[in-house]
Amino acid sequence: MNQVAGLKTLHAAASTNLVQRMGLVLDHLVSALGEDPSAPLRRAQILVDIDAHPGTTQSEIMDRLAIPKSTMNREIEWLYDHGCIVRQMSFSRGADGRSVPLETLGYAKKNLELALHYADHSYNNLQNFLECIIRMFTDPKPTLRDAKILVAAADLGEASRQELFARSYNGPPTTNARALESLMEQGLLVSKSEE
Amino acid sequence: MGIKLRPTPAVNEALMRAADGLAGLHSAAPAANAVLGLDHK
Repeated sequence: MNQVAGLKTLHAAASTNLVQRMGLVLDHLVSALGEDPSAPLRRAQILVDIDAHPGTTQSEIMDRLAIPKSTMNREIEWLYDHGCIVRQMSFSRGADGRSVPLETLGYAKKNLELALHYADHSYNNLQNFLECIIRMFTDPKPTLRDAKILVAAADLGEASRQELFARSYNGPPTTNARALESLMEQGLLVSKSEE
Repeated sequence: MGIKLRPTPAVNEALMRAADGLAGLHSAAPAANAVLGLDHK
């Protein structure tokens, strides 16, 4: 682990509450996924699974995570195109794409290591966390941004839209507004008057 | 002053489960662990 990043992580871990730690884990997962907060949480699960099983294949990941083939193909291609994973080249020529060994690398690997720090360095813990978060949503493709807004809302207890936007990720205002609307439609966030 | 938003009690509870899962205090998704092949650190 990069020493400075490691020290920052240790400091953050010591100075945050449980809810804030979840936000920091989400931040590291966004960084691991090319700084894309619109990434689905399932994509993060796939990346964590590959990091936990270096040299694993697409077929094995599909079996472990029970993710449909079409989704898996799309997500693996995204991770490869964005430099999050590498295919072991000796296997790739003429091989079935689903049997090519995969590994994480670069910024994805580094940021997963930082996220794992908050999970007692346990892939099992990190996957449990992601699974719990995914199950909160009725939307079939919740994103890291959706999760971050909910975590921020839980940390603040009660917040205005602007306060939640300030805690969310940068991006077009309409993106954060759409995410907030979706969370309200799913009944996950309620206005004070609705209670 | 604008409208204030808050998470539902169910969301707060689910987030606490997620935090426990992150800390390894309990298995948040016990049925999934065998499938995930992640019963080890």
